[in-house]
Amino acid sequence: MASATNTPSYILRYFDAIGLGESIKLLLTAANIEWTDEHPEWPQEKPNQPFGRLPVLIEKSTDGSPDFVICESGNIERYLARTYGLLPADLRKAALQEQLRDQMMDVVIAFSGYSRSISEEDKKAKKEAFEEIFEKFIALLTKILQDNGSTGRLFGDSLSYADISIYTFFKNLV
Amino acid sequence: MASTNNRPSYILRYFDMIGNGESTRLMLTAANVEWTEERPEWPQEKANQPFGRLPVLIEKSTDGSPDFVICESGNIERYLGRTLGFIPADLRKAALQEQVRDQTFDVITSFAGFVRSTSEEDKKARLDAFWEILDKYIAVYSKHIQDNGNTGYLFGNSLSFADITTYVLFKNVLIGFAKFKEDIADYAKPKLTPEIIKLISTVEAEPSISKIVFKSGDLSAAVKA
Repeated sequence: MASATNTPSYILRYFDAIGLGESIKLLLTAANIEWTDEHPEWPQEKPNQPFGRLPVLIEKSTDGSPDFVICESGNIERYLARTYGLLPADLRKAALQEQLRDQMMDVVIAFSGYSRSISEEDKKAKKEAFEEIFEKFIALLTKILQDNGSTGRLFGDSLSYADISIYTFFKNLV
Repeated sequence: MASTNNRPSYILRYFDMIGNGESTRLMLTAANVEWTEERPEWPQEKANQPFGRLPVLIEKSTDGSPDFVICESGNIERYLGRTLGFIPADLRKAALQEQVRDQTFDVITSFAGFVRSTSEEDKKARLDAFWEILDKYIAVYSKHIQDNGNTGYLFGNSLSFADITTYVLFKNVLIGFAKFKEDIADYAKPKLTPEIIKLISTVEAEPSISKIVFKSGDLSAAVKA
């Protein structure tokens, strides 16, 4: 699918779910570039992915060069955010935003650990661990928002990578 | 601790383990910047960290500006990787290396899930999941090393961010994780391919990290034993 303007176009391969694909969709849309999604048959298509997992991003160029394929949701998000200006070029400012996304993933991992638990004792322990980190995360986000003037933005005064990541987190939650 | 040549100096706050701190130690050493390590009393110092967790990196400037403090191991590693030149400036090349790190983190997190489980059935399920993802990692990156000319490097022909993270993963699996599962090396060693073993010895032979690489153990020796 060639782009008309020489900018690349994208295919996002993911499940038909919010999960770890939503931030990518929002970034692609905010960047105003051509993209589509694929929902591979699962688990049949597992061996056909670079690391047996989704999401996968395929960047299709217009000059005939091979597709650029990457995986790992955070990696895909950061690549798009840097390429299309939603992450600052300044390394320190970028690190402060990327940190929030990583902290969010710690909360997601804690939840996932809880939801995968089989025994009652593990369920209980992992639920407590999830609740503890979740509360810590909410307190942290609230402080950052307040320190940024309570404008509804985490950093600066326009939509950032961090805003998109955290919005998606709450969308998954509810 | 001000740097004498106007470069920032660093403090790494972490536990006395390989875990999610070793890649940072190796990069700071390879870059030849001033750095020290703090080992906070735990869990007493938990409340004093930005997110109640370690590692934390403190970058101290020489011009009097406030310390720059970040956390989250991947974030720290990428910040240092970019600042100190282990991650390429080209975004595509960088993404291919960062992907490796994210996958090593998936493997380590998978093992952490096993460590945190209490019931026998949960332990078994989590351990099975860990072996499955480790097998995948070994298969994908052995091929990568072969495709890169079998020099023991994942990309190009010098020590990269991806090489460091891969080395640290296997150091965790074969040495660090023994604390949580005594016999783990017995299961893990037979899985290592010649390509992975070559990467391990290539990284350990790197002069810029020779000062500290063996402090946490001799991995080349461990894989031969």
